[in-house]
Amino acid sequence: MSATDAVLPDRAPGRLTADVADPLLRPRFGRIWWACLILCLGLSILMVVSLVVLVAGGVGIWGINTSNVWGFALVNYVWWIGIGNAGTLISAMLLLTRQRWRTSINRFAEAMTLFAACIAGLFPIFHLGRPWLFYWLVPYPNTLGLVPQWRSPLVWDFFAIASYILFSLMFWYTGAIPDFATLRDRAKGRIAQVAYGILALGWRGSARHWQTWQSYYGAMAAMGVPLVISVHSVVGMDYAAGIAPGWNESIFPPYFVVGAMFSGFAMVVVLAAIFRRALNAAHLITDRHFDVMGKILLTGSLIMTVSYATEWFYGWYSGEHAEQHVVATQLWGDFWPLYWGMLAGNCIIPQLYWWPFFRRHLPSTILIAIAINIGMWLERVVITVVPPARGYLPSQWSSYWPTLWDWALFAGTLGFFGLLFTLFLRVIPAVSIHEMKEQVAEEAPT
Amino acid sequence: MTHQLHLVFTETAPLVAAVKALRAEGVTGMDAHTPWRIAELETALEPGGPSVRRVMLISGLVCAASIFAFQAWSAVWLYPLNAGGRPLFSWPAFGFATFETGILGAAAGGFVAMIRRCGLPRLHHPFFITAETELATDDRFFLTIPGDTAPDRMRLSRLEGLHEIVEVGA
Amino acid sequence: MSQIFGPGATTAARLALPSLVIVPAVILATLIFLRWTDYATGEGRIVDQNVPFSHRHHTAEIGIDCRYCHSSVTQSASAGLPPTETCMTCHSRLWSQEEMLQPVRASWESGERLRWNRVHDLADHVYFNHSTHVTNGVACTSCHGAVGEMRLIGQQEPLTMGWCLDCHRDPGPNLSPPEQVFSPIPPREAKVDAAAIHVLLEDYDIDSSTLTDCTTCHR
Repeated sequence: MSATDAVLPDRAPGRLTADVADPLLRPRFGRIWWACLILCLGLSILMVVSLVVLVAGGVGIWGINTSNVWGFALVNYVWWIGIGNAGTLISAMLLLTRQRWRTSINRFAEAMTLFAACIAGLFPIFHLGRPWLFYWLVPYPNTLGLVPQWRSPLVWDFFAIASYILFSLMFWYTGAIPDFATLRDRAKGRIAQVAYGILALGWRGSARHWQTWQSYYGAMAAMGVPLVISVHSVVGMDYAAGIAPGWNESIFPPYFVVGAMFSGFAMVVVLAAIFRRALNAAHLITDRHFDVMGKILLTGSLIMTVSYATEWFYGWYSGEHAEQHVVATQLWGDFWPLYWGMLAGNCIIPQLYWWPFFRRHLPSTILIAIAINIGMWLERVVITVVPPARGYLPSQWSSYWPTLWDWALFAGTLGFFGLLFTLFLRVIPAVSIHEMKEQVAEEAPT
Repeated sequence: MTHQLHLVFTETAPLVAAVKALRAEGVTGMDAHTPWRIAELETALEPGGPSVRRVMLISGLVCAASIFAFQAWSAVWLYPLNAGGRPLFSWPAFGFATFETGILGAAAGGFVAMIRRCGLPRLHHPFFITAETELATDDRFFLTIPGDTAPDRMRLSRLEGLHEIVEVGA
Repeated sequence: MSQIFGPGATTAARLALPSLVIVPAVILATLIFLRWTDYATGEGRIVDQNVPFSHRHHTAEIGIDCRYCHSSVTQSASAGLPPTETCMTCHSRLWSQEEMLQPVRASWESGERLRWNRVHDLADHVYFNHSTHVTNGVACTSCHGAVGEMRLIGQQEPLTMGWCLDCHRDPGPNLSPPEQVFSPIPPREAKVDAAAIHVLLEDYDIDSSTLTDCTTCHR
């Protein structure tokens, strides 16, 4: 096996600690990092500005209308939460199935989850029109004499997203406690020592610590998989519980779960490539990792293709004129470039992953992963925008065009995600040091 | 300050062997500090308390049952509302919040149980008193023995693979 | 020596860690509690008026009916505020030089209406209809309190949605027989029994099953 084939670095544990931890403790971080930070900060300011304008002006500044009441708010929500679901799913599922290559990617995949899920939560809240009343979704003893409407998908969403964010935070933090202790013990500066010391909570790596930690972390992973599936099923139910043709389909929950895993993995590929480049960590994230992730993306692409085909089939098989009309509109109506763009990004381009060359050639892999992310975003546009615009009532038929503020908020959230990720790379070990050392030690010939 | 000996190892196998040998000789109160989890150690040392998973199960079930009961109570008795002709006790719809809250309850309960059982937060600890133990989160393995139960140095120095002995405290 | 923290840090951390949950929880609980207080609901609040009109004097003491001034209360959503002419039916003769009544006379002369400050202010997204309530047995005093005992009018009830719902969920105990609906002071007798409630619900033909529909109040 050549060096690029290995999933685990061929290095001594002490070297590994230094590889991951030392860049974080360096006082300077390089120009590219600063350039990223400033770019993302600029876009984050755009996000704040568009939110302020939104609150001041109301949701009318968006392109929504009486038929397309959701528009970009739901598109971007689903896209972000899809990305957000992948991290925990990847981390937990790969842990349970004992995939050795997990340790290189799980930490930043979980960080990606947390950031994306928080950003996703912004959209439905700001779409409320009076976002400051979002707490009405929480059951609390109020003077209104009301409780949330438990049969409403919006309430399911709130419980799902809130639980998911808190769960992901605990899962991520628990996984990182031993690494914070490593950083605490390596740090030379007083500020870093105190900061990592507090985050590590006084972790000493005693046998009892590890036993308890393992017991908790393993159980969290086991709960994480059904949680993620439930969260994205609830997102699918947002549509499936509606009566619009093209939405009211029982395939939505599983189809959304796979879509989330698919887009999330594609985002992990992009971020892994950036991280590998930024920290010069080609020995931590090897070509073999991209090879394996390429295979998973290929599988996801095939399942998505079957899902789309199932939608066409059921549109035809239902015998329902409105269903058929929605499918026809998606394929040949006003939005056909989006639909065919989605098919290209999600079904056709990922087929390149059949060839080992495209799985291992980094630029190709990244371009295909970006195509998948665009394809998955277009999928959410098509699903969100077409069915309500072609409902049962022709008088309600409409079109939808996002406005400048729709785009500004989307671009802003991309920047904000980048900002959080850039800061994350600076202060938190992006690779799980202790798990990687454990793997390396287990593999080592004794 | 209590008197303690830290036996430092550079490999895991000698550490596990040392634990087993010393346990057989009746040394008690040992603890190991390692940069990653070593499953064999947990059986070699004195077994710990019950698993945090029991706490997680109970906490998750309590949370799930409470939110389900609350949903049923509020939808059937507090504010019976006819939403699209659905039955008031529409339990399938209550399943979402029940499941999510149950998982969250298990996670949060388990987190609290975990840090309590680990004795954290414990920012100030005798283990940190010497700079040598900083390597316990890097690539060194520490076996800590209370000074009063420790065998003499001659015995300890015969342990296979022992790197050094660090003595702390009076 | 490589202790980063002093011995007190452990205690501080053990207090700080639960505080991350407890402090926000206490703040939220306080905010929730504040919404229930009179300060937030306005219950018991007395509003200053340009003319210190005494409901007690005009209703309970001299016996003017509510409907004499609030003349549209049985026919329309709004109970109606009286025009200056209504005041002047008496006060063009009685107390006609009283300093207290100067704004009334000024209004009469200039033709500009009297400005009263609103006491019972519901949210704009609530549709409240006075006539529906008083013609179905909800007495004035059920919501406005014992007006016949108030020198200056004040808000007697919290006027929160939960308070509205208390009655909409179970209207029976709050109904009065038709002859008591406009009484300025609620009758002192004990609560009506279940049989009487049933009779009232039958007489007024109230179907309480639809009273808590959203569209009953939010149209």
